[in-house]
Amino acid sequence: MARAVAAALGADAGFSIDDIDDLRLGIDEAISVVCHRTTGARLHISFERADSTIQAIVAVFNDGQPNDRHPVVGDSQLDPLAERILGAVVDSFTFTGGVFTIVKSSTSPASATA
Amino acid sequence: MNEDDITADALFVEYQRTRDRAVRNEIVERHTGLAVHIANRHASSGVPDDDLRQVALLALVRAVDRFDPDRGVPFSAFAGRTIEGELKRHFRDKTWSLGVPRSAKELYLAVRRANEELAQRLGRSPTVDDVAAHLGVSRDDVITGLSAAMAKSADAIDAPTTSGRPMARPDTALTTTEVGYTHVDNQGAVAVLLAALPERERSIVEMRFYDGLSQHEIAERVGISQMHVSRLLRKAFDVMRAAADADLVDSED
Repeated sequence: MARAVAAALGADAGFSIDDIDDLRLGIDEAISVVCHRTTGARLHISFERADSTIQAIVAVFNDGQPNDRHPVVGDSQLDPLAERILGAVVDSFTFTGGVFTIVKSSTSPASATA
Repeated sequence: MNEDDITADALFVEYQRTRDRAVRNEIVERHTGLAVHIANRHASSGVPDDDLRQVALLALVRAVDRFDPDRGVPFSAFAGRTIEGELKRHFRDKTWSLGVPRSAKELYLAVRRANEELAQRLGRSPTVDDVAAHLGVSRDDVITGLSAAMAKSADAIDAPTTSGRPMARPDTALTTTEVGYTHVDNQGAVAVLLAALPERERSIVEMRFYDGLSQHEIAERVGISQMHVSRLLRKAFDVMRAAADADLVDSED
């Protein structure tokens, strides 16, 4: 599901097939990191697009009432494999307070006009 | 079994023994009618008959080459299936410009092919809109095709690779290498994870990690498609991640 959303947003941002696939690889990696480092109940993924840049936020939330939900902070030490993978596939990323933020811009010359 | 099949059997026994082209030609000529008949059955689809006939006849030749008389299946049945299969492949491969494919699987195949053609023509990875324009489908259709590609690539990670060598199973091979690390806590550990990958996967990941090459560039260098690079990268990442996580759990015990 997250991959389909990533593909759809990537298309709107004028991403190439390469860019879209890289974004998905990055999201996969972020998901596997947060799921493994924390013990929460809800995987939360959100996307934002600004022109030809997409920001994805991945975090595991606790299972509280809607007004008492927050990201679960687990082991925030990022292992070098995650750094390698994310460093290779996205433009920038941060992992603080249990929240993964990854940013990727289109590398295509024909970037979005929308 | 009718008389024709018996004669054919004798010819096949001879062809198996001698691999004589003249014998093969004889068999092919005897079954030309079958190939033409099947081709004509598909002829209403708007493709010129001659093309279909050619596909069917080539399939017939292939069927003669592959037929094993010891299996106990009449050649006519075997050839019929082979020809049907080749014709279906022909329609699938050649007729996208005529009919707009709609199912996710067809879209996936169309997108994959368009991606390769455009990457070659443009010298870069095409955008979704490039692919959509090329195929004459909507942006959403391309996204559907791409999502199907993802579903398709979700192979078991220990499935055999095209290099014929199975990927290491993360729960066995990698964690029993006993390399003396308990956590993926330094760059050397990434190298260890890399070293456990099959050679081709490893070199592709290295190009991505250390040389900063794009999937498109790796595809060109290795001589495979970008989508194939994508699949191999994904599998390699999964294997390395599973090994790293398994090791993390071990170290917490």
